This record gives sequence, structure tokens and C-alpha cells, in this order.
Amino acid sequence: MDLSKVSFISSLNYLKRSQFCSSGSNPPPINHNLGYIPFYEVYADFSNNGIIWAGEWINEWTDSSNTGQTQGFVAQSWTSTSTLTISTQGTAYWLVYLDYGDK
Amino acid sequence: MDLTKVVQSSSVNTFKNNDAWVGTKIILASHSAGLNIETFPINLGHKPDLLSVQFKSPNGGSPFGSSQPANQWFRIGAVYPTSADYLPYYMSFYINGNNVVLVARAFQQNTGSADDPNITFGYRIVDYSVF
Repeated sequence: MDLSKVSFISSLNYLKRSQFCSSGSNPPPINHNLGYIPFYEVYADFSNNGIIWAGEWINEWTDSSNTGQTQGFVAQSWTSTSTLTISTQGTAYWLVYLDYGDK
Repeated sequence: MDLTKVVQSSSVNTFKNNDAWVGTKIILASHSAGLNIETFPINLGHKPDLLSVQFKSPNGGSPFGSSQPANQWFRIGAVYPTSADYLPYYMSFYINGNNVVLVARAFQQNTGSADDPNITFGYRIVDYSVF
């Protein structure tokens, strides 16, 4: 059988969306337990106004007082081979992908 | 809302992972006042289609307020030196032809009495293409 003619071959390494995709405020650590560092995406609706930013709210820094500045929000996230942790203001959206082939 | 459409739209529905580049690089000591940038080109051998680029700091910390532990893989963040006396390095990357160029950036307000120490950080690049 010539597998090159098959449009989808699962024996090849490929990327597929996992079940660890959701949203919420102050999400607990997400235990994906994949055993490898996954491809993942984290976005955030910082102000809960329906605008979802790709991790960082790039804006002009403004003086919040005469002693400091206010930085744009950042959706922080980090992962191990078992757990994705997210720390952000507002509502977080996250997607963890299954990286078949375990690269 | 289907956020997979935000990442990249495609007429086909998946990506293939072609290869991975995992290793460490060293941010060298000795910086001057002002903006300090160090770059680390990684040659992929071809122009990438979709990349996952992550960094790992040997020490914990975050420039954005969270208590990120050490040796976790992150996309947005900084590599921290062991001592709080030294500056964190904000990490980013850009693509230049066949190269992914990792970028470490710190803004030093004044020159201290001692140079920053060398810092070894981890990088992990996975290259995907439309399958």
C-alpha cells in the first residue's frame, strides 16, 4: 500500500488539539500529564470585555502616580512535562496540543 | 469560540512536526549601562512554517509579578540570574531566513561594581508545517 496517497497518516508525527482546552478566571494548574513539553497557546481577555489578547496587552505605559508606571497586562504561563500553569488577570483561554511523535 | 482559528487558518486541519532543536545557550557576563541585547541564531536549515519556541530559566522569577518556579518552560517571560542584584533577561525570538534568532534583552540602569554572571538558559524549538 502506498501510504503517500493517504491524506492522513497517523504514523507520522503530527499536531492535534487535545482535550486540555478551556477558559476561565484564575484557572488551577492544568494536569495534562503528557510526559513531554507540549505546544500550547495561552490568551487572555484581560478586561473581560470580549477582547482576547495573544498573551500580552501592548499599550503605552502610563503614569499611575507620580512615583510609578502601569505596565500592560501579561498572561503568564509555564509548563512542565505534566502541568501547565497560568497566571493572568481577567479570563484565560488555553489550548494544549498533542504532539504525536514526542519531539 | 474556536480559538484554534486564531492560531492559523488552513485549508487542511493539522500540522506535522518536522524536527526539534533543544539545547542550552549562555548569556555572557559584562554589560554596559543602557540596553543590552544578546542574540543566539539557531539554523533550522529551511524557512519555518509554524514554530513553538519556549525557554527555560535555571532560576525562578517573573518580571510580571507571578511566582514562576525554576526550570519551567515558558513562552513569555525572563531568564533570571541567581542573585537578585542582577537583571532578568526578557526572552524573545525572531525569524531571519532559515534562522530562528533567540534574543535576550536587559536594560541596565547603571554599571555595577561587578559584572553580571553568565547564565545558561534552555531553549526548545519545534518546527511544524502544514500536513
